[in-house]
Amino acid sequence: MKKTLLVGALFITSIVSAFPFRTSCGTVVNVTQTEGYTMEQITNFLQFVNYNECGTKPKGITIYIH
Amino acid sequence: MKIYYSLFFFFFIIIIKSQGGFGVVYEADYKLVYKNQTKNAIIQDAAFALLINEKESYYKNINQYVGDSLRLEKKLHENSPIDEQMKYTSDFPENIGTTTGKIYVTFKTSNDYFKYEETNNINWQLINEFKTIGKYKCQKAITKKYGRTWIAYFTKEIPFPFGPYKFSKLPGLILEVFDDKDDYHFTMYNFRKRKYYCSSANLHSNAKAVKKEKIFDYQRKELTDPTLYNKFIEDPEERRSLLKKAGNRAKNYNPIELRIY
Repeated sequence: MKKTLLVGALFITSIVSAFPFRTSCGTVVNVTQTEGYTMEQITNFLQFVNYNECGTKPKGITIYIH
Repeated sequence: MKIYYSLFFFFFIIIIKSQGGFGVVYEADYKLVYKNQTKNAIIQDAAFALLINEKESYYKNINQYVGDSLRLEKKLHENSPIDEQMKYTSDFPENIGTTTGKIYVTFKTSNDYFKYEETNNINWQLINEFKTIGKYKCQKAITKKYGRTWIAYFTKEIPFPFGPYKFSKLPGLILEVFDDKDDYHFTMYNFRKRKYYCSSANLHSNAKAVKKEKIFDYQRKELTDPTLYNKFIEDPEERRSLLKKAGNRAKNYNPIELRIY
């Protein structure tokens, strides 16, 4: 199974405060508050979401910059 | 002038000690195949490094081993991009130091760094069964620990009483160890002489000290911690849905340790 995550929208320099998060098993979760959190904390949360949705933690992530 | 050199040396030693480095003489690398759900589990794998010297061993996930090295060099930090962060995470955040008498564990929860100690009192029963793993002749041993029955194969040809995770105290290096349900199966895939000082072995030796009883099974509790979801998800309906799924995952969570001791 492809273990790549898709994050919908990002600013070039930093992550926007809200973005759709596509898990490794295809479900989409709308992350709506990220301001004030470090990338490490956001990554940690996305891993929890992926585990709850799919039963695995992701091994990679692909970021699309619009 | 002599006193300045002595003071410099004294503080240098203190700094090195507080960073929790490790003098590596040999390194054994293990592959773990595991199922961390009791129902409909997806079989996953992870790799670990066991750093060894004559007196002690230090065990950590390979991703974290590389990540911590980059953190020490300031090439990875808390605001590095998510795709970079993701490369160095693991289901197994524990760094485990083992001596003949004690096991020292340092790890990160979603919020903070903690550490605890436990007595290294593992008791193996040696079995008169042998098999060859790679080029090494190995003997079987069995123990009951952490709520599971564990079967190990060790070799006296590598005379270090260490192994992956918290398994040790056999008369030779453990090359394979697994539980009787085969939920967690470690196999050594590489052993080599290293001879270097790993300054990034434990970057968090000043973590908050806790009793193991306080922190045991924290990963199951974190899965259903509503504060985590409240932080990042505004929509109450979406939060409810995520927490419901989290509840099922937590109910079927199958950690390596089912009991504290």
